Amino acid sequence: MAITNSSTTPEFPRDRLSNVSSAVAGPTDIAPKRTTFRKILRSMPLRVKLSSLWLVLIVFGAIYAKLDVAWFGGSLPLQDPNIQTNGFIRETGQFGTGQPIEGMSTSHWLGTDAIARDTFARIVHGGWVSLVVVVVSACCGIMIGGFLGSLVGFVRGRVETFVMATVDVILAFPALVLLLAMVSIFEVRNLFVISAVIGVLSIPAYTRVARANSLAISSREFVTAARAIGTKPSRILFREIIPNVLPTLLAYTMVAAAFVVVVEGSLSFLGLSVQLPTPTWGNMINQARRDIKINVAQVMWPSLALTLTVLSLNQVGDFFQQRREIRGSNL
Amino acid sequence: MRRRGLYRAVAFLAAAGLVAGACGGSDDSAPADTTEESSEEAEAPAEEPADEPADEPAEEPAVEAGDEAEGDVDTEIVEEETAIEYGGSVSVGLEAEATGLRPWEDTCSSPCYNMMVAVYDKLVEQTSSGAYSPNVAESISANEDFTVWTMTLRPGITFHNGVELTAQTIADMFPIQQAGAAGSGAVSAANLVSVEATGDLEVTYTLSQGGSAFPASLARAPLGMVFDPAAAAADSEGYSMAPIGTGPFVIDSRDLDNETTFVRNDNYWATDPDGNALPYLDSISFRPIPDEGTRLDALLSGTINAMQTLRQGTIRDARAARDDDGADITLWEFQGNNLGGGMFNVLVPPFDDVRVRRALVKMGSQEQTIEALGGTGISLPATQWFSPDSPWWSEKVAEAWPQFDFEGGVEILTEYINDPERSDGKAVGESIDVELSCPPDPTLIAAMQVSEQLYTASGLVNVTLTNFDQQTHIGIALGGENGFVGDHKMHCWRWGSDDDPAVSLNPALAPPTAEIAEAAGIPGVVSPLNFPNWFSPTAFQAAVAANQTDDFETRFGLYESIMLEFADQVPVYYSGHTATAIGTDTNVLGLNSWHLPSGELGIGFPAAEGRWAEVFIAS
Amino acid sequence: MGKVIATRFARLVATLLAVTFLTFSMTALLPGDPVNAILGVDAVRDPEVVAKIRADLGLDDPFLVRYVNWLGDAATGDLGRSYITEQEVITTISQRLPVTAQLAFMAIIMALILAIPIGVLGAYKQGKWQDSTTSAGVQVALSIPNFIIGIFLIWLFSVRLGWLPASNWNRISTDGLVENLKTAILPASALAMTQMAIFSRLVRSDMIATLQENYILAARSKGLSDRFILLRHALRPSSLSLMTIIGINFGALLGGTVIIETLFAIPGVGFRLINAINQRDIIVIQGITVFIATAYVVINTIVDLLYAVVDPRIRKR
Repeated sequence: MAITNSSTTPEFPRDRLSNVSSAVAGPTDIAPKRTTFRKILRSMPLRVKLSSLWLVLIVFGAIYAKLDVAWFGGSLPLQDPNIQTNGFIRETGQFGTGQPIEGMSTSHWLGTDAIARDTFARIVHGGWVSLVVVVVSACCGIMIGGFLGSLVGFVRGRVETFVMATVDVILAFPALVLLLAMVSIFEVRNLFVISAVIGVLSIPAYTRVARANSLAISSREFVTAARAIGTKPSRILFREIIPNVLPTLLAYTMVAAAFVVVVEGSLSFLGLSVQLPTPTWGNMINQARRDIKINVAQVMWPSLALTLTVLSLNQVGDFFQQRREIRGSNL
Repeated sequence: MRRRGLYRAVAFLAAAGLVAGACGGSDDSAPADTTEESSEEAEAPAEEPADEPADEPAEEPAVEAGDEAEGDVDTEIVEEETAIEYGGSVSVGLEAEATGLRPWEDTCSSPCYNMMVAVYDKLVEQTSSGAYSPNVAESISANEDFTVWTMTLRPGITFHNGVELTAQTIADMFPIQQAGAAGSGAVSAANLVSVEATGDLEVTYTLSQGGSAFPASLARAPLGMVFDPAAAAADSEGYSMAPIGTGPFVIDSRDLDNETTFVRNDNYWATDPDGNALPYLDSISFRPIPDEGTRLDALLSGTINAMQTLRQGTIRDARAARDDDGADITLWEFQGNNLGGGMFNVLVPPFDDVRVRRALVKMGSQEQTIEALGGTGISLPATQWFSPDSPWWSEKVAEAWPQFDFEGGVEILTEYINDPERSDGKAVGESIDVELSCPPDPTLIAAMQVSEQLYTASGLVNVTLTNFDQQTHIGIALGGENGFVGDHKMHCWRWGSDDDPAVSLNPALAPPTAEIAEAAGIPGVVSPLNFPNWFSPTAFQAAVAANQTDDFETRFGLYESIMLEFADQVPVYYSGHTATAIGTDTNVLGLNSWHLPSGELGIGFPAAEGRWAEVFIAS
Repeated sequence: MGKVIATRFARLVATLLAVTFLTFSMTALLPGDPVNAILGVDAVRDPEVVAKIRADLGLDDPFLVRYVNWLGDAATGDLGRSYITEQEVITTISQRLPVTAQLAFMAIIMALILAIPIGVLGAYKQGKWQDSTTSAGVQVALSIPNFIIGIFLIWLFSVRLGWLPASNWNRISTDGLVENLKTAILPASALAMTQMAIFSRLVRSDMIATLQENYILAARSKGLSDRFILLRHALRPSSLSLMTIIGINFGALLGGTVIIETLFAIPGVGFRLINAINQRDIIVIQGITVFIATAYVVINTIVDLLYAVVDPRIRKR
C-alpha cells in the first residue's frame, strides 16, 4: 500500500512533503507522549531558537500593530504606517516636513518610502497580512483538508477515488497560475478574499498529506483491533485516526506556512493582493523597486523581513518534522 | 458607425502659426487619445495653480544635457548641427507591446505609434509650431464651409511591396477604415462621409458637416496613415504581423513581446532638406520592456540605445543617472499639453453632485501628488487642458480652477453630507464612499495613496483604492453591459494632447448616452469617448461652434468658455502636467530635427513618440 | 504493466478533462467585457456591431456548448486566435515555449551543477562544519523568493556593475549563443536558486541513507577510495529520486517562470500569460493555462510510469 509518491503535489514544498510522508510511514501507534514545552525548547538547536524568536517577534509586532490601530487609536508607541510625513496636517493647515526616501535616522529607524511613510512601521504592520493568511490557510488546510484526507484514507472506496481525483485536478495546476486566475476574478481584493482563496487552495495539499497518514494508520494493529471488536467507524476515525494524523499535519503546517508567505508576497508584488494602502512586504518591495537606483535600502528591508520569516518558518518546520520522524522511527 | 459626434475639426490653418514655439504636439495620438489611451494616470485631484505656470521656464530650451532646471525643460526643436552619418541601428525600449500594427484597426498608444511611424507615412504631419502641413499629401484645401476637402498626393510614392500610391488607394482605404475598430471612431468623429479619387492623385473628402480642423484628423493614425488597402483586405490578420506602408522602414521580423525589427527602405520617397536619401539608419528595432525601472536600466547598461517613458519618476531617475552618475545619455523631454489626473463618473452618486466633486478637488494637493509621482521639478500643476506655453492657455481659467483649500473642501462636503436630499441615499451625517482607481504603476499607486490620506483626514470620506491593469482600467470606464456608460467612480485618466482641441477635447463633450442625447434634442449624437459622462449643452454647443470657424480668437473664446465650465463643474480633475521623454545614448541624434517635405522642422517627439527617419548615430 | 499504463492513461484523460473544464469556467468568470478588448477605445459602439462580435465569439451560447466547442477545437490543436494580436494561440505557444523551456532547463542544469557537489559534500561530511555551512546556505537559498533574487541580481549585475543586460531576450537563431546566454543567465539564476536548494537537500539525505547500506560498507572495507565510492556507488541510487524531482519541478517551473519572465521582460509563455491577463485576452489565458496544466499533468504521469517501471513495488497499486 505504499504511499503514492508525492509526484503530483503542487508547488507546495515537495521535498519536504515527501519527508512528511515518509516520516509518517512509521506511524505512531502509541498515544502521543506529553512533551513539555521546556523539553522541546531544550532540544532546539540555536538556529531554531533564533528562528522561533524571530517568528515570535513578527507575530507579536503584527498583533501589537493591529491592537494599536484597533483598540488604542494609534496611541501606542509605533508610528502610523500610512501617515505621509510630508502630507497635509489639518491641525496646522501646513504640509509636514518629512522627506520621501530618507535614510535611517532616529525618527525613522529604517527611513521613509517614496511617499514619506515610516518604513519600520510599515514592516511591523506588514506582518499582519502574512500572519492572517498563514493562519487562515492552516485552519482551512487542517480542518477541511485534514478531515477529508483522514476520512478517505480510512474509508477508502469510491469516496477516496473521487476526493483524490479532485485533489489531483486542483494540484494539476501550477499553484501560482491557478492563484492568479482565481484572484483576478475578484473585483475587490481585501484580506478576507485573499486569505480565503489561498486557504481554499491549501486544502488539497493538506488532504494529500492527511490521507497518506490516515492510510498508514488505518492499517496499524490498534485500528484493526478496534475494528475487530466492532468499534463504530466514526469513533475510530475521531478517536484513533485523526488524533494520530494531527501531529504530522501540524508539523507540515510550518512548512506550508513558509510557502503561503511566499505566495502572498508574490501576489502583493504583482499588485494582486490586499488593497492599498495596507502595507504588506510584497507591495512594499514592489513600490520601492521603482527607486532602487536611488535607495536600495527601501527594497532591502521588506525583502529581509520576508526572507527571514520564510527562513525561520522552514527552520522551525524542519525541526518539528524531524522530531516526528525520529519518534516515528524509534518505534 | 452611424452615430456621429459632432465634433468638428477646427481650423488648423488658423491654429498654425499660433501655437507657440516649442510646444509640440502629439500628433498622432490623438483623438481618442485624448482621452484615452495611453493612459491613464493617476492621481489625485486637486491643485493649485498658485504658482502658476507662469514662471515656468518652459520657454527656455534647456539643452538636454546639462541643465536640470526646475520644471518643464522641453528639449528644443532645432536643426541638428552634427554632420549626418549613414548606417547603424537603434534599439528602442517601449513601455508596452503594440497590440497590432494596423492603423485602421488596432487601438494604439504611444509605444505602438513609435513603431507605426517607422513603417507608415501620414498624409499630414504637425510642424514644430504645431501647424498641420502636408506630408504624403502635396497640398490640401477646403471649400468655403469646410465640408469638402481636396487633397493632392505626391507622385511617385510606392509601398514596400511595390504597389504605387494613387488617389484610388486612398479611396479604397476608406471602407476598411469605416469597418475598422480604430477607424470607425475616427471616421465618425470627423463626420467623414465619402472619400473619392477625383484624379490620378487628387482625392476628395466629403464631410457631413463643416470641419475646419479636418487635416488634424489626417495627421492621426486611423485616417492619416497610408496602408495598402488591397493587401489589408486580403489578409487583415497577416497585416498586423507584417505591415506594409510607404514609410522609411520595412518590416523585417516581428517577435511578439520581444523584438520587432525594421530595416531601411531603400526606395523611400522622402529626402532631407539637403537632398540626402532617407532614412539614415540601416535598421531599427523595438523592444517592449513594461517595467519602467528595468527599461531605464536597459538603456544605462547598453542593452538598448533608446527608450521612451511617459512617467515623471523615470525622467527623474534618468536625470539623476545622467547628472550624478555621468551616464552618457540624452533625454529628449517634452511636456506639451498632456496632463494627468482623472475623472468623476457623474452618473454615479455621489459624484453626480457638483459639491462632492468640488470638495474632492479642493481637498487634493497637486503638489504633493506630483512629488509622489516623482515629478517635482519636472512637472507643473495643471488648471486646464493646455500648458502655459500653449496658445490655448487661458489666464482666466487658471484663476477659476479650484485651488487646494482643505477646509474649504470640508465645508462643501459637510454641506452635502448634511443634506437630507443627498444623492447617494445615505443617512445624513454619514461619510461618502469614494472608490479611486488607477493602473498599477508604482508611482500612480503612490499618488493614489496621497489622495487617500487627504480625503481620509477629513473624516468625511471612506476611500477604497483599486488597481486594474491598463486594459481593464479602460474597459471599466467604457463599460459594456450597461450600455457603455462605465462602472468607474473616481478614475485615473490622462487628458489633453497637442492636437487641435477639436480633436482632443470635442469628443469628450458630446452626450454620453442615447437618452441624454434625446433629452438634449440632438438624438443620435452619442460619444463613447465622453468618459466622465458629463454633458453640458452649453459646452457642447461651444465645441460645435468652434469647429465651424477657423478664426483663432473666436475659437479661443469658445474653448476658454468650455474650460471655465470645467473649472466650475469639475467633471475631471488634474494631478499636473505630465512630462514625457525619449532617452537615448548621446550619439543618437536627430530626434528633434526631422523635417517635413516643405523643409519645415517637424514637431519633434510629442508624448515620447519619435520619428525615426532622420535619426542617425554620430561616431 | 499494460494495466498500469492503461489505468494511468485513463486517469490522465479524466484529469485533463477536469482541468480544461475548470480553466474554461474560471476564465469565463473573469471580469471585463471581451468586446471592449476587441473594439478598443476608439471604436464607435454600435449595438449591432457589438451583437455581431458577441455572436461570432459565441459569447451568447450556453456555457456547456461553449465548453464543448472549445474542447473539440483544442483537441485538434486549435486553441483559438487571440482577440488582440490575431495570432493563433498555438503559434504563440510554440514560439514562446522554447524560451521558457530553455530558462527552465538552464535553471535545472545550473541547479544540478551546484547541488550535487553540495549535497555530496554535506552527506560525506555529515555533521561537520562543511555540512552545517552548506546546509545553512541551502536553507537560505530555499527561503528567498525568486522575485527578490531577481531584483537584486538586476541591481547588482546590471545597474551597479553593468555586466549583463537587465532585461530582454536574444534568440540563439538570430543573435547567437553568446548573446543568448547573456540575456538568459540572470533569470535562469534567479530560478535556479530554489531548485538548487531542493536538489541538494535531496542528494544529501539520499546519500546519507545510501552510505549506510551494506554494499557501501563492503566497498569501503575493500579499501576503495572515498571518491570512487561516492561517485560510483553512492550517487547512483540518488539519481532516481533526482530524476523524479526534476520531472516534477520541470512542470512547476513552466508555470513558475511567470514572475521571473515578467520581471525580466522575457518573451516566454509566462510573460505572455500575464500580458493576456492584463489585456483580458481570454482565448490566450485559456490556451496557455490549459497548455501549462496539460504539460504538467503529462509530465507527472510519465514520471509516475517511469517510477513504476523502475520500482516494482509500486506496480501493484
